[in-house]
Formats: sequence, C-alpha cells, structure tokens
Amino acid sequence: MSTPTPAPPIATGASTASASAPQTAPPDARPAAPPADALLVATDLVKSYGPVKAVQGVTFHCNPGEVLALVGENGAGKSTVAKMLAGAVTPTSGTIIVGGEPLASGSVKQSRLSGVRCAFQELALVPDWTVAENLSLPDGAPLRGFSQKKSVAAASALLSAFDLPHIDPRAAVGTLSLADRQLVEIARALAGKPRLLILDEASSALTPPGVQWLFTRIRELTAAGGSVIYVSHRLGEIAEIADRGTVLRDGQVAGEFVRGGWTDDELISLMAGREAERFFPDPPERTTDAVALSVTELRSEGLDGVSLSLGAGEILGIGGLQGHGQAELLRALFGAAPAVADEWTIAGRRIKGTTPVRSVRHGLGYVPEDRKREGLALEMSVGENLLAPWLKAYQLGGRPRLAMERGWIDGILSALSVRTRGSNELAGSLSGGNQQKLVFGRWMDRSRTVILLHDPTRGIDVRAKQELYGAIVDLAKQGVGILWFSTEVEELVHVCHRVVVLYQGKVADELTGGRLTADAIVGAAVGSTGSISLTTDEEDLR
Amino acid sequence: MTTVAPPSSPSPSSSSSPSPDAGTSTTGAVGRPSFGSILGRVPRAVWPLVAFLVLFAIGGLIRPNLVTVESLIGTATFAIILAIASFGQTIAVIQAGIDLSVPNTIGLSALAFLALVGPLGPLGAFVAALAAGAVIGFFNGAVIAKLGLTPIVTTIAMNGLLFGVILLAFNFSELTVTPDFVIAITSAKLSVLGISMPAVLPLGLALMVVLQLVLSFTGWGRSLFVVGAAAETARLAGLPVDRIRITGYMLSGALAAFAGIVIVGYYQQASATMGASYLLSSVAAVVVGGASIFGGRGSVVGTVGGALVLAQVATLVTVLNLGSNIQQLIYGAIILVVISLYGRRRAA
Repeated sequence: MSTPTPAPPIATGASTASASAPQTAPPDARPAAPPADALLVATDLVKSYGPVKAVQGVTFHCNPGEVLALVGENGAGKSTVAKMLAGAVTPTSGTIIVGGEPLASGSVKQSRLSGVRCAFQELALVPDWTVAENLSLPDGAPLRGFSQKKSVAAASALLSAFDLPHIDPRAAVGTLSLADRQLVEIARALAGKPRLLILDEASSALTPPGVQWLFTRIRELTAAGGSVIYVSHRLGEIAEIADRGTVLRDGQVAGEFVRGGWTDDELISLMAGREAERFFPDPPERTTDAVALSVTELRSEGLDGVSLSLGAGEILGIGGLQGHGQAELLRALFGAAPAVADEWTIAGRRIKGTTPVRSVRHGLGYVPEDRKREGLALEMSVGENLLAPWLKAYQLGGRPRLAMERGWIDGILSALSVRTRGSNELAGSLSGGNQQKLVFGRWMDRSRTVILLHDPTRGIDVRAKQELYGAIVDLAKQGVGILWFSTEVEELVHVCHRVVVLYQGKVADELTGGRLTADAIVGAAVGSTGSISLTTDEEDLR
Repeated sequence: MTTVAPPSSPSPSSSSSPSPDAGTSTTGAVGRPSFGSILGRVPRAVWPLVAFLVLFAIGGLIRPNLVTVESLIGTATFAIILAIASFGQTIAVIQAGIDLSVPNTIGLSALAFLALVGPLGPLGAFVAALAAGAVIGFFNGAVIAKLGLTPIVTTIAMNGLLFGVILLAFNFSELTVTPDFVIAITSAKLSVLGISMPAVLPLGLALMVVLQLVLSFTGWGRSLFVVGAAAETARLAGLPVDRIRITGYMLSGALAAFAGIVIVGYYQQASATMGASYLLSSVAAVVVGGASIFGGRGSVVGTVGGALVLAQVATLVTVLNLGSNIQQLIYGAIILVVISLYGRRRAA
C-alpha cells in the first residue's frame, strides 16, 4: 500500500529465475522433479481436521513467471491448500518452500514477508471500513499512526494504477457490490507486489470485463517474474490464463495438465472422477401458458421500472453485469427490499406489495446470494435448515417434526445427492456446493409457484452444478416458474427458455429462440453504446 | 459419610430431560471414535453438571460435613431460584439478544404482586404481575425488532426506566404479607422420595422441563433458534422474525416476573433493589450453561446446570468466609473464562 517506498520484492525472485519470460508449454510436465529454480515447492501437504482429512499428500510446484491453476470440485481441498500457502492454515505435515526457503507456516504475516499474498474466496475485508482503510490494513499502518488523507491519496493512486477508477476509496466496503468488493480484495493482494499471488476463486463474482481486468493484472505480474496460483472452477478462464494446472480430487492430486493439452471433458472427468455427461440440460417443453408471476414497472432502489412476466414451468434467465439491478430485482420480488409496481400478480392474484412472510405464503421461494449468511443457519442441522421456512409457531418442531418429515427430507437429500452424514449433521460442516443444495432444496416439492434463484451455482463444483441444473429443470417440468439470475452466460444460454438482460436497473433486452446467444447476452449487458470491449472469442461455447 | 449422598437429585432430572443440543449429538460413526469425538458428542448441558459435581467434591474435601442431603438441597434450592430468574435470560440469549431488564422486572413484579393482592386477590395479582412482565418484554422486543436497536442498550434502558417506576409507584419498600398459595408453591416443605425439600425445587424443575420441551420440540422454539443463529436467513426463509423476537422477549419478561413472585414467596420480603444481584448472575448461569452469547445455542437444562455451579460457588465462598464481594468477583471471572472457552470451541 505505502506507495512512497518502491521496494522491489519481485527482484529477489527474479534473481533465481533464469528465464522469467512467460513460458507457454513447460517441458517439465512430470510431477516428480520440480526444477531447481521453482518459486514454490509444496511437498506432501497434509491437513486433517480431527478425523477428517481435507488434504492428504498434495505435491506440486510453481515456476517463476507462471500461472498455475488449481482445479477441483468443492471439498477437493483447493481452498485448504491455498490457505496453507497463505499461512492462514497450518499444515498437519508436509513442507512448503518459497524461493528456496521453507515457509514459516501458520502465520499470514510470515507468508506476506516471504512475498506470498492471497485474495481469499470468502472476502477478508472489513465491511464497515472504507476502501482506503481496507487497502492500508495489511501493512500494519494502524500501528504506525494512520492518516485518512494519506490513505485515501494512496488508495486512489493504487486504484488508478490498477485501472479501477470507478471505485471510490472513501466508500465503505459494505456498500460496494460483491464484484467491486472482490476487485478491492484482489487490488489489496496486488498492492503488496507479491512474488506469488494466490487467487482463491477470486473471479467467482466478477463479470466478464472484470475477469479480463484480472487477466491483465495477472499478465503484468507474470511478465515481471511473479507467479500466480489460480484456483477456479471456470474452465474457460483456466484455458485462457493457466500455463499449467494441478487437478485435486478428494484431497489428493488427481492429475496435471499443461496449456493446450486438455479438453473440458477430460478435465471435468478428472475432477469428478467419472465420465462427464453433457454439461447443460435442455429446458423442458412448456405445457401451459399460465402466468406464474407478472410485474409492471417495478421500482425499488436500483430498479428503474422493470416489467416482466414469468410463465408456469418457464425458466426465465436474468442476465447483465453485476450491479445493474439483478440482485435488487430478486429481493424486490420476494419482498426482502421495499418495492412498488403499477401491477403485480402472483399466480393470477393481484398483490400490492409483499414481505418475505407473505411471499412464502403466496408460493414463492428464494435462494439468496450469500448462502452462508442469508441462506443457512450454519450451526443448525441439515434437516432443520431444510425445514426452516416451514416452521409454524404452534406446530411441532425439532426432532418430532424431523421424524414426521423424514420422507420429504430424505427425498430432497437424495434427489440433489447432498453429501452429508445425515439430517442431523450441522449445515456448516458441509462443503459449499452441498450447502447451496440445502438452500435450494428447502423449496422443492412444497407446491411452489415461483422460485427466485440468485446465482445458485456461484463457486460450486461441476458435479454439484449439474445436479442443480437437473433439479431446476425438474421443477420447471412440475410447472414451477423459475426466475434465475446467473453470472455464467452459458447457463443462461443453455438452460433457460428466455433471458431478460438488465442494464442500469432497466430491461435492456429480451432474448429468445435464435437470438438467445452468449454474444447477444453480453452485448445487451454492456448497453447499447458498447463502450467496453470484450474478448469473448476464446470462450468455449457449446 | 462421604458416600451417603451422591448427588442423585439433580442428575436424573437432567438426563431424563430432552437433549438440548439436537444438532451435535448424532454425527455418525466414521472410523474409530477418538477421545475427542466422544467428548464432542456429550451434550453441552452435561458439562455444567460435571463442573458442579467437581465443585461439590471440592467442598466435601474442605468441609466433609458439607456432603449431606440437606446441604445439597440447600444449594439446589438456591440454584433453582437463580435458574427460574435466568430462564427468561436463556430465551433472550438464544435469539442472539440479552435481557438486562431482568433485575427490575423481578422487583417490579414482586412489588406489584404484593400491592395488588388486596384489590385483585392472589390469583388476579399473580396474573397481573405476569402480564406486567410480558408487557415489559413486549416493549423490549418491539424496540429491538422494529427499531433495530441493540438488545443491550434497549434492555438496560428499560431496566433504568423500571427502577424509576418502582421508586415512584411503591414508596414503601418492605411488604411482608405473602399470600398462602405463593408460599405453598415456594417455601412450603414437601417430601419427595423421603427427602424434605422446599416446593420451589420441584416447581423449578417442572418449569425447566416444560420450557425445554417448548424450545426443542415446537415450531416456535426452533424458529427462535433459527432467528438466533442467522437472523437474515430466517427472514429470507419467510419466518416472521419480528414476531418471534417480540414473543421471545415477552416470554422472557413474563418468566422474570414469575421469578419475582417466587422470590417473594421464598424469602417473604420484597424491596426495590431485590433483583439487583440477578443482573450478573442470570447472564452467568446462562453462559455457564452452555448457551452461545452470539445466539442460536442454549438450553434451559444447561441454565439449571449453570445455576447449580454458581450456587455451589456461593456455598464455597460462604464456607471459606470470603464475603459476598468476592462472590461477585468470582462470578465475573467465571463468565469471562467460560465465554473465552466456548468462543475457542466455536472458532475451531
């Protein structure tokens, strides 16, 4: 952060790096022998939490100037490995060597001093602090005396150096969109001029231009001899940015790959440990023209008159860049944020406004953005989390109720293949994908009219995604109207009947049939002016 | 003499009651159960009882004549009164709140009860006092749920307000004519299984069982836990969060009012400051009983266990002649130690 002192931490790494130019296909593809100049060598990393082994014997290395992808399903151990490298988690056994010296494990500060920085998947920013305060946090600036003025000046210099002029350094981080928060988190990691940058699902909330911004930063870093460990689910991004990759499955290395030497299907089957079927299911045939939900001129904070209509059994996608009103639309429709509309009907019944309580009574279901904070009570059991919307004050609850609902709960758990030790396990001990299935599953088979989905597949693994797609299509077959906001354009293109693209709180375009293509969605999402150039040609669209 | 009375009266009541931590108990057998996983499967409400037994044994080592049924009943009686005063606090803490208006709710209800016995008769006064507690809770809950003020500030302000009401409305502070039926349910001696004990002990245990059943096995009870564990999740799942919060504080207020009447019945005196000592000790009993101060976890069975621990500490303090100021100091230290211990487990 402190820009006045241009310490050259990358130079120390470059001194050992004989060839710091980005290599496209390194010859040392075999895992056995890391080259002598490897920046990072991790050997036999093991991490157990009690009887659970999250990581069991992971070995890999990363060369200077290289982007190493770490891929795998959720629960495969990627995040644990990333946290061990960052010093946030102490390995049970195994060694990590950075630039020839063993990493003092278990201390984020020590890792930082060795030039390792990490942008965490769970954003590690203080929501009530301003962007500038958050950016100056890692340097221990508060201990040396803190000046708002200096930190704001330094933050604006940093943000403009990183080409993020739209983020106000004086804004509290909590008021930013999720995508902007993620950009700040990445900028904070980059500000330390790391030798090794770990990006743990750092692109999960980013829009396509945001991802391109990230790739530009990564290329700057690698050109200077730094290395990046890129943890992601998005195969399109990995194809574009990763020089090499390591696939993790169940806490072990399942395989390695080099740039250009793999296909999506191969990688998916490596991650899933089985042959992947077709990625996206088709939306089901519609059998009725009944309208499940319609709204005219819906106005709310961030929404400037949205009109749309959702049919029974229809999967209606909501597209657009982050922060153009998609989240607000879902919240307003569910009644979680105050909203007014000229006309508003649910299943043909006119309503004036709604609250979450009334929405559930009217047959709506909502899968919110943040599954840990808004979707689940992590300290309660799987079964009670599924039952949460269906508790009535004067009815039974707890174990007798769980016993009564045994059939429904087991049905949901098996229909979604939730990997759990039973309905009494704590929801917090499940992996992210399985947690998301709970948030979704609580609305299944409960005679819903409409289900509102806020990017349910964000940050979950390929297999869990496919299981969710299947469940969404099944619900649509039963006549439930699905309103699905997704940040993954391909989901919208392949699984939705129709896609509405929002731009600045308004409907920019509605796409169906032949017009429903990835290019059309992205085009509409950036507005008619098309001011942001996109390089989508590399994306592998099926 | 030491083997005469293994403390049999409190432990069956706790083991026969429903397991309060529904979530942690069945994690399934994966591999060989380690010592740690066995410890992890013990319900939290058991720990305070273990602590109580240890303290009881320590008391026995210091003064062997403490290990008698009478001494145990004495400690248990003191504990159950504290527990009754802490049941409402438990419900507030489970919903991620706190009720610091418990002390003066106790005082107000006790004084109002005694003042109203004349005009309304004992039963009418009893109902009126409970209703007053519920109204106090309603205002607490409404301010917290609807205006979004923090529970600590709201309830401490309510506590101050109630003290003003007490001083204005009851300018006499000693009232000693206690109705018979209140004495019958509190200080009257009963013989249970051949052991003589005051009626308040079975009364408190019965109340504990009823409340634990409500918390563990009703939709309202489980909703309270969801609200406490994750309020935004509860809201977006369509639970009536405000209503649950307000009814929770109403129950908390009514239980504190009930505690006021029980205290009047047992000690047969009432004064404006009679509830003051319950400010710290009710929170201590709840926290020692295994409730999470962050909400979403707790049980009234655990609170009874916590009250037993505190009562035994009080007994030891008396036996060792340390004085009541030391007792407050020890309570404060216990709260800090327990919160930091449970906080660690939460983070792990």
